[in-house]
Amino acid sequence: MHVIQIENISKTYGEHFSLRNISFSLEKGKIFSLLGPNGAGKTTLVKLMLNLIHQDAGNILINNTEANNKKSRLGVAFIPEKFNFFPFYTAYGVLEFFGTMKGVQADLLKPQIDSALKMLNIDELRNRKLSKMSKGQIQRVGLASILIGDNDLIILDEPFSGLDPIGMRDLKDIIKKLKEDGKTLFINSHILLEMEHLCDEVAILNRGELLFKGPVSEVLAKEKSLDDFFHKLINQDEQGSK
Amino acid sequence: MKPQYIALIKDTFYKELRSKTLIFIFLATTASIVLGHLILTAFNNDLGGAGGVNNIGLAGVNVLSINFRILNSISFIIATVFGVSVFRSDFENNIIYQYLSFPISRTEYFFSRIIGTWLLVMAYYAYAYLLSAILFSLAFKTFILTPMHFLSFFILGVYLLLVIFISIFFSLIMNKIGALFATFATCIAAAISYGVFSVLPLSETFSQMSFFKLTGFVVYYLFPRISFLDSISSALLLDGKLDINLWQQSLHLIVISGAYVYLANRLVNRKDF
Repeated sequence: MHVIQIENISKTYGEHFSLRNISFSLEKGKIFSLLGPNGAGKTTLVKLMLNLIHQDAGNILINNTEANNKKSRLGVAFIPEKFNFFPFYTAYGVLEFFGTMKGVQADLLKPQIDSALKMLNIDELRNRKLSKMSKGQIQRVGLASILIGDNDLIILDEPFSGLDPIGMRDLKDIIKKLKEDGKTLFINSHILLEMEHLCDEVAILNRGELLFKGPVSEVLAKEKSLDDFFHKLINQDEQGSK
Repeated sequence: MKPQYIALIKDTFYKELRSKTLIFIFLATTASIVLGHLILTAFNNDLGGAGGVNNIGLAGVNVLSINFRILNSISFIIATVFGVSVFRSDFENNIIYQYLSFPISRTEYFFSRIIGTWLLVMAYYAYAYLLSAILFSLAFKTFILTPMHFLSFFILGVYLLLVIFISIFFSLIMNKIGALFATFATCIAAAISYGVFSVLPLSETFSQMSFFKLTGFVVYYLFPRISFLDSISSALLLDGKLDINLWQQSLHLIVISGAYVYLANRLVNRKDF
């Protein structure tokens, strides 16, 4: 079963192509990473999946529902690169708000919040306002929000950005646990080494075009590492365009 | 009502409740009403000897009505300031992505923000209304709040909702300062055109057409006549007469406001964030 189906998507900003005729799909229960240099179109694709922007052509289905339908976001959790929320909210308040907006029943919400706070090791921050937290602590609150509600698809944009080594370790554990629970993870990342170890599948974008999409095992059959494969592919594309 | 809407309305309310502008206006309003109460109490002690309870009561109603007119103007400013900032603060803090990634439509998000802002402005308005009614009644030693005051309160509530909507509409297409000026300009233009054209006989509407008259004409017919609500509210407060066709004005207000709501909703749904 496909959780994400992207069909011939194109998006331009002015005369500049941000995405050109992109098509791929993602199966349920996989960890998938979208890789690419800055400006490749990774964030644009995530924004299209969440209906934050509109495509010029093509179609996006999330759980077999068009992305412009609010039902496509049922069971979808999203954390941007720099998680941010209004500073007067406490950690508990943020998670309570997110849970309510995701439609979690009030009586189920508290145990979920308690569990999420414990899992991210921020239980002592539950009543602290975001204005009194460090950037790393705020990022952890954001990551805790993906554990609230029954999310089938978790979209993480540069999730390791702003985390200390302990935070990175915790996040990797969470990603593995979510995979064990059968969840699908879509990760935008620059950290190729981590993605090589965590992901089942990767896709590589450059200048709005999809250069590769396939399992990590296929990448490692061709090159020593994902890092080598990525750089070779990008260099070939850059040279081909000259 | 769905828990999501309630959460979003509460979120809007609490977000703006912390505004320094609102706290300042709240304190300034409270101080001026209390000061008004003290002055009126002193004034009433003198007047009470010379006049009589009836005269004092009448004076009290008039003073309260004038006070409410001032509150209406302050509430208009608050409605504009909060209407302009309620969406822009979501954009500027890059928080809009979080809201729109929830399983709610943009229309639901848009209207929940409008209602949350309106409730906050109405809470301020109700507080100032009741405080002045109580303190001025104490100063005049008689209950001076009339049913007309309540009616005026609700009509002005609709007026404030439309002002919030207009300011939000402009905040979607321009920056905060631009939206603030555009809202003030629109409301002033609407008030002037309403003042001129609502009393002008149809036969004189097209005579001696000038650039300014044409502009006023366009504003009068194509903009929501929010001043119509303000004029009813004022007439109720100050016991004035209304020489206008209530049905015609109401119909125009509903149709044009509905068209603008539809346009704004389309704008929100088509916008790239």
